[in-house]
Amino acid sequence: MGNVDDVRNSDALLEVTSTERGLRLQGEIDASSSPLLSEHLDPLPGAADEVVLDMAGVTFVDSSGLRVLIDAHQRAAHAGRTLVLDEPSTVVRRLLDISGLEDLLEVRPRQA
Amino acid sequence: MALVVLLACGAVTSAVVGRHWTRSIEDRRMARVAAQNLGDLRLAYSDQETGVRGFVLTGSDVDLTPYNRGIEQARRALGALTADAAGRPALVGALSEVAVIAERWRSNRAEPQIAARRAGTAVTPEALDAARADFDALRSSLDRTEALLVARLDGANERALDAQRLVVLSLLAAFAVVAACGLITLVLFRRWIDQPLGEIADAARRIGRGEHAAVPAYPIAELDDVSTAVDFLQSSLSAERDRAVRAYEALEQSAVLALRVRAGLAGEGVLAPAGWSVSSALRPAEGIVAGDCFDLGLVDPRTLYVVMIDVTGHGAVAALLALQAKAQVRAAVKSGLPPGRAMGWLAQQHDDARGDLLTAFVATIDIETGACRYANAGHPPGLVVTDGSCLELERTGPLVGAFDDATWGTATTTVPNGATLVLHTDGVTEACGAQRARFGEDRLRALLLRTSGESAGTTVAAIVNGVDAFRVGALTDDVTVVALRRAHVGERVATPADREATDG
Repeated sequence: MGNVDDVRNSDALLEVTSTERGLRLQGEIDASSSPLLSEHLDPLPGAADEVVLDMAGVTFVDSSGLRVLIDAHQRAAHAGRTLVLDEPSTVVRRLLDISGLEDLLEVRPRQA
Repeated sequence: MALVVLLACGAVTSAVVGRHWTRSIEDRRMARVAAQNLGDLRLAYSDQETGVRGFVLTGSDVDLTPYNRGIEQARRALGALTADAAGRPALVGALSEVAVIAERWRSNRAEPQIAARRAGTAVTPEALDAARADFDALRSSLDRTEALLVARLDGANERALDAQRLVVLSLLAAFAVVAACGLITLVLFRRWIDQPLGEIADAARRIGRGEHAAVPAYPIAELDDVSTAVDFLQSSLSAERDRAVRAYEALEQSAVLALRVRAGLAGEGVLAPAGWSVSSALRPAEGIVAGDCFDLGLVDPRTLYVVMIDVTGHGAVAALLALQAKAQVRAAVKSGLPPGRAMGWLAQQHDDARGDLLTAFVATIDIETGACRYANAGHPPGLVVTDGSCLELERTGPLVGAFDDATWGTATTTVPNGATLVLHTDGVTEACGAQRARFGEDRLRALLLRTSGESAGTTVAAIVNGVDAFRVGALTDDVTVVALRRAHVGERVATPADREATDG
């Protein structure tokens, strides 16, 4: 169990928690909260081959959030690592699908 | 300093004059007391003389009482006069003379007559005359003493009057000095304070009217501080005014540019071809320009094209990028590239270094048959709405700018008669409502099914109004909607197209 690294204020839309493999995200990733995620992904957390983002608690991702994920993906690939989106919700998977990122990023759906 | 010296002199003068007046008043009072004592002395001697004469006539001791009482009274009065006369030689001499004559009359005349009467011896007329002569000498001596006391009293009165006049003069002088000081102070105040303040105030008013005002320096530090501050304020205001003018001019230029960009972001005025109607709306989340844009036009007389682009972010920078992308896609489509390749062309022109992402939907439609070829680069699906159904036109590739090796295919579909092709940006489905609920695809589909069969304008208005009714607070993303409706066979379509620019 990691520590809550940053909850900006009571109105914070996104809660970011460090884990052994990466980050656990809860809330919404939009224009107002994506800078917080960007801070936690630069530099990429951990040293393992995979940078795992636990997306189970994420309820919404907009284009600014997708931009942060793509940027992290590209830096991970450049470093020989893989950015993994773990267990995104149905809503988030739909957003990834529409944008075409589901095919290009490493997305691990929830186990049935 | 001069004022302090003046006040000190005034205080010393007041003290001297006051003391002089007090002493003169006291001297006059003492003179009056001395005159009163002399009167008492004269009465005491007179009583003695009366008592002796009465006793000589009657031989009764009762008649001798004034004599005895007069001796005591004369002693007290003479003592008081002698004490008061200290330091006044003439008066001391006169009193000594009175005392000597009185004692001579008493011992040489009065006492022998009393003794003779007690012994039964008659007092001779010569003795009586001698006694009367001695007593007249005493009266004369008392008169001289009285003259001295009167002179003293007159002198005391005169000095008191002089002192009074001096006090009055001092008061008048003090008043004159105070008035002069006040007048001088007033003149100096006007010259050193009032006039400079007036000049500074005039300068401030001229500065307020936008005129340049020279603010002089002043010898008084406080005034000079104010003057310097006003001059500094003038410099600051002048600089701020210059900046404001430049900002206004820049804003004026930017506004013209923004209006042109805004006009460019919306589809240019194209007449919908026969049998089609078009409607659109573009609402920026910030200002008057958006990161969304769309385009409608003819590739050739048989083929209609429609493009919608959404650049990540919003505002002026996103708008310029969207405008650039729109021009690139239009060029690709008009050159005959199929939508998927047009998207690839757009990706090639995209500046990856900027890190901008964009989604796009490009379609070409055969006007006669409704045959549609499209490409969707990570954009919300286009929707073909017919009575009772809503067909999604899924993506044919990812968003542009994310991956170097991405490719986009071209898919096909048909827009049947009576159907409406609806394109929108994610600002519609991601509009935020109460409890941060999203407008969402389900709500959009339900709305489109309710308006299926209606005009393109009705469809667009329903979406825009639905988003406005749903959202809480300001728009968080640009909202763009385009609807193309293919008429039923034989349906009359209003011409020119009911393209409604409801943006803004």
